[in-house]
Amino acid sequence: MKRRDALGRVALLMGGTLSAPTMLAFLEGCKPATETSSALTFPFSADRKALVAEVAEIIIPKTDTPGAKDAKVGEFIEKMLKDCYEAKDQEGFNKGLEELEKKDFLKAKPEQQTAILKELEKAATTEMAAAVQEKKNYTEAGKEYTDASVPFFRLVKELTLLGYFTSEPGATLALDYVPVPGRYDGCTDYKPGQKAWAM
Amino acid sequence: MNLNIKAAKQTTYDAIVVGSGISGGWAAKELTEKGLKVVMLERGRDIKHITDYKTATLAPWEFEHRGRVTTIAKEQYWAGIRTGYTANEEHRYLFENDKENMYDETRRFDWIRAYHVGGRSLLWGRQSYRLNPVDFEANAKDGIAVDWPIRYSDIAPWYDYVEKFAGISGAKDGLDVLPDGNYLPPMQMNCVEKQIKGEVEKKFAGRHMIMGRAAHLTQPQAFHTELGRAACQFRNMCMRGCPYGAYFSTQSATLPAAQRTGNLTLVPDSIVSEVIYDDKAGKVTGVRVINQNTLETKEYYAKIIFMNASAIASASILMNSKSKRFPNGLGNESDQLGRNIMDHHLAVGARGDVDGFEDKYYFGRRANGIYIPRYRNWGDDKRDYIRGFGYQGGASRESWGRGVGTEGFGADFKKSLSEPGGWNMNIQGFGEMIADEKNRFTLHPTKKDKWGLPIVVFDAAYGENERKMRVDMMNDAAEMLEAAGVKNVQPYIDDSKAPGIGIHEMGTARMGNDPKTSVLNKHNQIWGAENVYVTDGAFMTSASCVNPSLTYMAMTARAADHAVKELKKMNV
Repeated sequence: MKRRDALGRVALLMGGTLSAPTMLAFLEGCKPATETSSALTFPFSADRKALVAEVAEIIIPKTDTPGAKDAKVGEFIEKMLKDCYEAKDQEGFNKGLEELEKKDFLKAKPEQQTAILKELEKAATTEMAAAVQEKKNYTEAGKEYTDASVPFFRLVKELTLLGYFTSEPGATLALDYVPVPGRYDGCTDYKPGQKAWAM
Repeated sequence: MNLNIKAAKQTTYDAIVVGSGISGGWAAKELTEKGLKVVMLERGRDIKHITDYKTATLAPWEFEHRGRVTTIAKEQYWAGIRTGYTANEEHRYLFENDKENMYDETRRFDWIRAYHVGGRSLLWGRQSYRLNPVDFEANAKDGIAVDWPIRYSDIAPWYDYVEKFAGISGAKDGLDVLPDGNYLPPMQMNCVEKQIKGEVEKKFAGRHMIMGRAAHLTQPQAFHTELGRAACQFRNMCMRGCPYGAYFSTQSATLPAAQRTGNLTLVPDSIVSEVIYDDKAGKVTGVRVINQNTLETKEYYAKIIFMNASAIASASILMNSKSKRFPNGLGNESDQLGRNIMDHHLAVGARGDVDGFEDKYYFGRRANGIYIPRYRNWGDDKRDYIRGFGYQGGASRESWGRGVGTEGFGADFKKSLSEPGGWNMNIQGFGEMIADEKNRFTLHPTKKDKWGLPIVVFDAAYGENERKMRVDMMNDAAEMLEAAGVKNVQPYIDDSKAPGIGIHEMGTARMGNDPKTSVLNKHNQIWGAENVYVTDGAFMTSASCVNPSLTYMAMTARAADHAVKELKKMNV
């Protein structure tokens, strides 16, 4: 049976339910940043705080439910970068911010802002695909591969989603949070528009 | 002189239990209920039921890093980080800081520890399966390692006994490979799992998908509620400690049972450094402990001693217990102490998407999944490896996390992530690791920890049998999901993992029929030091492919019964 050759299409997935491979960056393979060579300085300047908060708000805007700013996602991103990321990812993030600063992102019109972020997202996708290919080449050649830093847009998006959907406004208003369900019903009807469970 | 006698009297009990985890709790319960005065020594701090579960009722936003691991924690929990979940912010406080609790690796071993009252009984996966009759005969049939000195019939009544008290939810599925037990009602499968179960069982003769058997009270009985236990609330936050006492742990079940007898003394912060073999008396008389905070040493004396520190720790205490009679460590005349480390190998399986069922969802967070029992090398099936594996897994609808990997942002994107995504199904293999005496740990000749005890050095790896089995574990998973109609099936295999990752350490003081090739006899007694019983994972002669904790419980209850009978007969 052809299926016996499953190895050819192996995806390095763990945990099963996480759909996002980069979530793994939180959990595995990271060496601690013992040196303090980060290009980022904490706390962020007022301008940078505003910039990060704005990018997050464009990713998760206020609609009939609160947005990223209401959920203080900007502050969360800053904290996470400082406490949970190694120097190379901090540097990658810094480069992304510098690029936005050069483009005077905060003063740009909303359509321009969206266009800039779309471009960054495309670049991030290309960059990550290249990294996957490079890793494959290295592995096949029996060489050790050091994971590339997470591209700016991917990192800011990932942290925005995490920060927002696990925040109190995000979890309780954009999603449906039931702290103590009390029972498990395996098969319930899903009504269109019903919100997802927060956990 | 009088003072010394008085001091010795104050620390003399009928029995000493070393460790307070899954098996230690059972030893304490059984021995105290049979009327013995027992001291349970725990190396770590005390953790009081409910009040000390400090993260148990926190909402996601109450965690500073929303559960993620900081770079400082990554450095401290360098072994814990290898699992991908044990160092997370929600329950990290219940795992050990590996930097402070050093160990060495000649060949890598992922040693995940929890030093506190209750041990890993607060943290286990709670899957509870019996070994089957063939598991106990497997070594003899295959001509490897040594034969188990007992058979299924020896342990079956004890499985009945511990299942009832612990409270295991599950269905009686009537399968030879997975003997039925004494169960509370099973949890439910969801719509997609039911569908896939039907397809798998239709398309693959001899394969079954059943509801996981888990140590959660689905319908508490009077003897459960008497101890303060209540029904599972389906929060799925078990690893933080359960304030409802809904899953089986030392704190929720065996400790209150032991305490109500009035016969238990629990002493935390007490690291047992060695078991005292008195060469003059010709027997073991007690244990020596080091206070983990003050470094003060103290001795405890008793007629019988139960070693329940967990496999590696119990065996290392025995190795560190040298006497004229046992110059290489207590019970180590066979040189088998510390050898034959086994675990279950995992991190291999498949996942995929399930079309349809968009109009179906679920309510509540089930801390359990489906189980596919072993079918390889079972009945007429023959493979180019020995033994087998089972799968654990489940189906669910995707959460907001899917947004990280999909392009897009803005209002519509946010709205779509506020609703559940498509269904997916994942099954992960848990395979048997066979005993190999070259897989072992030793004590470092010079390096010592901060309490002055020699550190553990691991030298273990998966063998050829495990590697061959893993190919089937991956391919079969993909094949079954595809046959069941699952789309975009992605097999996965992570061979970067090392033994230990299953957190099921076993075999370092195995049972056997012959003192020349084993450490324990058929009653879990150390050959030549019969008043010492080892009933944690160390006794396992082979690993089976099912989760082992239930077997530790049953063997502990059986050994405690034996010990008390022997004591009455003045044999120990």
